[in-house]
Amino acid sequence: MPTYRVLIVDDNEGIHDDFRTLLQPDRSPDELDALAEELFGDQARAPAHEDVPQYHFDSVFQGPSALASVENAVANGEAYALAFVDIRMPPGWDGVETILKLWAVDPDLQIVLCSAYSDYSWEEIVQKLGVSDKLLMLRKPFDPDSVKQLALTTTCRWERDRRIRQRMAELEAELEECRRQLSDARPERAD
Amino acid sequence: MVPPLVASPIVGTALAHVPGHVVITDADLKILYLNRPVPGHEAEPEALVGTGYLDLLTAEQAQTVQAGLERAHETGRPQEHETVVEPPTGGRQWYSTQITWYETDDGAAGMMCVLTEITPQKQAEQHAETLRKELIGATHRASMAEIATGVLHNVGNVLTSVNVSAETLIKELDRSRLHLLGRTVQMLDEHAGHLAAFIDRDPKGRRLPLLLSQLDQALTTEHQDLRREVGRLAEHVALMRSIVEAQQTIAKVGNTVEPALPRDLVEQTLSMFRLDFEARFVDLVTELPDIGKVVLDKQATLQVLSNLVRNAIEALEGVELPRRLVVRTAVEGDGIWFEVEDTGMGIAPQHAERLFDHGFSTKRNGHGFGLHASLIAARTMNGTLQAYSKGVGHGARFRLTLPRIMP
Repeated sequence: MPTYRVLIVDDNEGIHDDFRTLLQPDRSPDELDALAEELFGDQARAPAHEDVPQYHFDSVFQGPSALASVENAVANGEAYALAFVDIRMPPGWDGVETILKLWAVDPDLQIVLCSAYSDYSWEEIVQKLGVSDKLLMLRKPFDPDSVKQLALTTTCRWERDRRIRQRMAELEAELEECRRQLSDARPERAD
Repeated sequence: MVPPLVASPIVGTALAHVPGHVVITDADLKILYLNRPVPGHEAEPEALVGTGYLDLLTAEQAQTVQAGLERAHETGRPQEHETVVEPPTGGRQWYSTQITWYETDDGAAGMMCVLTEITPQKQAEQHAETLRKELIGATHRASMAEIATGVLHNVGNVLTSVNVSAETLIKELDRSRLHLLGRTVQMLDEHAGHLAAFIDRDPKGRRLPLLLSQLDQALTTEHQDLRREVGRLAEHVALMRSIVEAQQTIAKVGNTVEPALPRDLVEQTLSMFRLDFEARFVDLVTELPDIGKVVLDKQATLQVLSNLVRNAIEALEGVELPRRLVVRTAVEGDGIWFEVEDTGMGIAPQHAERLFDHGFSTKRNGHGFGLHASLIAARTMNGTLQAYSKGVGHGARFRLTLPRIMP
């Protein structure tokens, strides 16, 4: 069961609790479940799937502290996979401004932009943030299942992207090695 | 036929060409001379000579002319007023009327009245007034939209939490292990005749005490979780109510603007808290130079100022004497600002950035919408609201900056 780091950026404290509550893992079977099965033949409810990721949450309430957290995470080699960012966080940066700054330090970060009422049209958001497949939107009040699936999708995608980048780097290194061998071999053949 | 009043042909021609209506009467207001028809009447000037001037006017106009003339007579100065005329051809015309009392050396006296048409100026003024009203309407609608947006955002946030709490409650209840208690009772019933033997010797019976103790723990935890979630739900419902309350407070913003002396506004605000200052031994210092009148939303400004002063008093309650409150106003650049500074508890750095958030409060009974509403009020007035504090124990200073619009 993989674990991903998730950053919640919202000026509303209640929303932080909501994300944590929704995305906390199911209770794992305990001694009482075992006893109930032994005595009454009750089957304990199995968790949804063993591969559903777990999340480690950090909470910040304003754009600048979000930037500091992401900078720290990148510097320590423990990058966040996903950030939930609220579009409205008075009095500081709004969500779109915050995302611009987060991507400047961590372009691989998956982002879910949350809004109840948007000050931006979709066109304006794309204009400001560019064309990206790392951004999804979530309307408040949100649907709990959508949040769970969004977290699952974005973190899996982040992991896949990370593996692809790693594989690309390996392949490029191999390619470079091949080129080097090739150029080493050529002069010999020229002889 | 009245003898020609104006003997000199030059004066006569000049009078006839004065760009206005000249009316000269005797002391009984009988017309002696008209250079052109009386506004609103088609009769030729010659035909009106010898008739009463007041007969050509409405009762109201006649009254104004008489009053003007009396005053002109008493003061020796010309009197001016504006008249609306509705000619039979339709439309409205505005005239500025100047009334002078004259007395000649040989004892003749009477009124000289000059009417100058000001219809174009009046129409321009009315047009400007209509535009101003539309502008105020538009500003009002814009601020209402701003408020509605804020309310939607805040209610959206809370609804999300309500939704999550409700879902969590359902999930927890669905997964409750309360039913295990029923199963246990059922099992005990089945062995009602020989319970002691069952619990003592049966392999299942011997496990029952352990199951009960585990079940007790699980149900206690469950109960605590449910209690916590219901508490959260109740909090959120209360928050929604406070959002609606705050919205009703804010909705008053967008009042009409008017010229006011910033100093007066501060004094008006402080007068509301006089008893609080005395009861809490607050030393009040004001630095209020004359910075002239400024056009602003008086209601909204008073609302923000009283909120800042109330907060300052509460911050001062938490510290020992001396307790000092300073209120200042000043002009800076294109703006004016009001400052409320206290030597109270100050603001912790970790609270500083959330100070203006909706629902954020460090006060035990705070709702967390005072400063939030103040910030929105400041923004609605195209102003800013800023907080400064060097931390806990170092007091705080709030500054409301507004554009300096001269009346």
